[in-house]
Amino acid sequence: MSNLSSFLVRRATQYYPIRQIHLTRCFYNQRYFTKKHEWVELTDANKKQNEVRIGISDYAQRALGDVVYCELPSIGAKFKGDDTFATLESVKAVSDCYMPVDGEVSGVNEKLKNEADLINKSPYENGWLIQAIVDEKTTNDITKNLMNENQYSKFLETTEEAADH
Amino acid sequence: MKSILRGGNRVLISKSTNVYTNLALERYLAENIKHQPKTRLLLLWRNQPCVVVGRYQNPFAESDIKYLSEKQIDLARRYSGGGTCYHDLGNLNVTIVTTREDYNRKKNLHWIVNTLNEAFNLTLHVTDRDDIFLDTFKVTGSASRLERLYAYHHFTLLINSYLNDLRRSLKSEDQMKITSKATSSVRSSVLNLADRNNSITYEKTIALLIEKFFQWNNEKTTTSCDYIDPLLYYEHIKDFENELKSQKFLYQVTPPFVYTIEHEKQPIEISVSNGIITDIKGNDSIIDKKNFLGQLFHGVYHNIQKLNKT
Repeated sequence: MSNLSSFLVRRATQYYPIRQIHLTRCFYNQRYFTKKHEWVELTDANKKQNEVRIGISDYAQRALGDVVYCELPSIGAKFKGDDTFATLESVKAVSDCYMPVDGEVSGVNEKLKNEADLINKSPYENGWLIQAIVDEKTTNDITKNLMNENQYSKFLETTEEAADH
Repeated sequence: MKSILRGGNRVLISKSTNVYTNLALERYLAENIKHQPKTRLLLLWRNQPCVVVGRYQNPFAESDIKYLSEKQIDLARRYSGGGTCYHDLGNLNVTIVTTREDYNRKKNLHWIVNTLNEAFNLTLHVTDRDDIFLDTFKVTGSASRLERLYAYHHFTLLINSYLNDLRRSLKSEDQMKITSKATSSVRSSVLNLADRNNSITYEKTIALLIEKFFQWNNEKTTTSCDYIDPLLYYEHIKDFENELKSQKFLYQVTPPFVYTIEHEKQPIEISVSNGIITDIKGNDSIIDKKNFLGQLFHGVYHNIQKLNKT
């Protein structure tokens, strides 16, 4: 198979199951944001457990500047929403990242250990921070309590305006 | 007792010269003061000779640990980022605490630079990396910590430090032996302000900063200025102070690193994670691995040095 066709098959198998699941369709691949500029998205709609992926927004990475070091939690660590789960150092400033929801860490982005600047280069893809298992109720709360992309960009406009005054 | 935590534009000057006490006081104040928007707390302090590394630095790569202990120079790790600096009584520490929204390092640095330039006829300038330079010499760097509700930015001002002690303390023989993703310091040539204008003293500088701080913040009076003795707040700051002094915070929170030495021309690679030796690559005949594996690196550092020399 040529590179292109194998790529297309992989893409197709990657996305195919999503169309089958109506309940989570709206949620899957949709990113939700906190006011502290963390994002959360469901990683795989097929798993029994709800696993989410968490990172920081493009706005947040630009505000921080070049990230030089990233301290991530260990797998199995449990956090409540708003707890500090990761700490970043950028241009001599240390700042914390806060959990968008309650959850138990199921994976960390190992690449960041050597390439912390992936957070700057690709905040929504390669620069994700952790994955976490959340319960069913939390999954529902995400759509209810956090901002979707449209709401988040509106939120950014109003905060930026406020900062100008 | 409560008044120490009131918000608004204020200046506090610490009476302590102990680096652990002062870092603990700084953190306690930053966390507990009733921060009000558009106001600042200015905390001024200085320490007996010590070396302070940034939160994600490796003290072995940044300073001469053996020299520090011989000379009884304290080693401390701060909660903020950035690089390593040397403190003594000629190096003034300036901390500016604001709400997270009002955090602005450039504003703080420009205020300091303008104030000092005007008063002492200097030509200080702020760099892209938020350092302050006089010509090509560095007089301070910057470091900060951002929290949910507050942020603090701190930096030092080399007024009249023993620069030879500074250079000697920060000379690390281990630097070349360590491979790590820890934040590394950018080394610069340094200069004391007093060497450029010998009328500048520690006392004059803090008097100037206090006066100009209130003008900068549009306050008519300079009454919100207090000297504080951290000992009176020991109960409140002791948890931070104990953490700052602990071997755990000094060494074990160092980002993972590999320490490579040569013994009879054969390399030995020691991997360290959370301060603990997790792996050793090297010939069994030259290193008895079981004596080192699982040990705290800083605990067996002396023995490792012996291996390196023979």
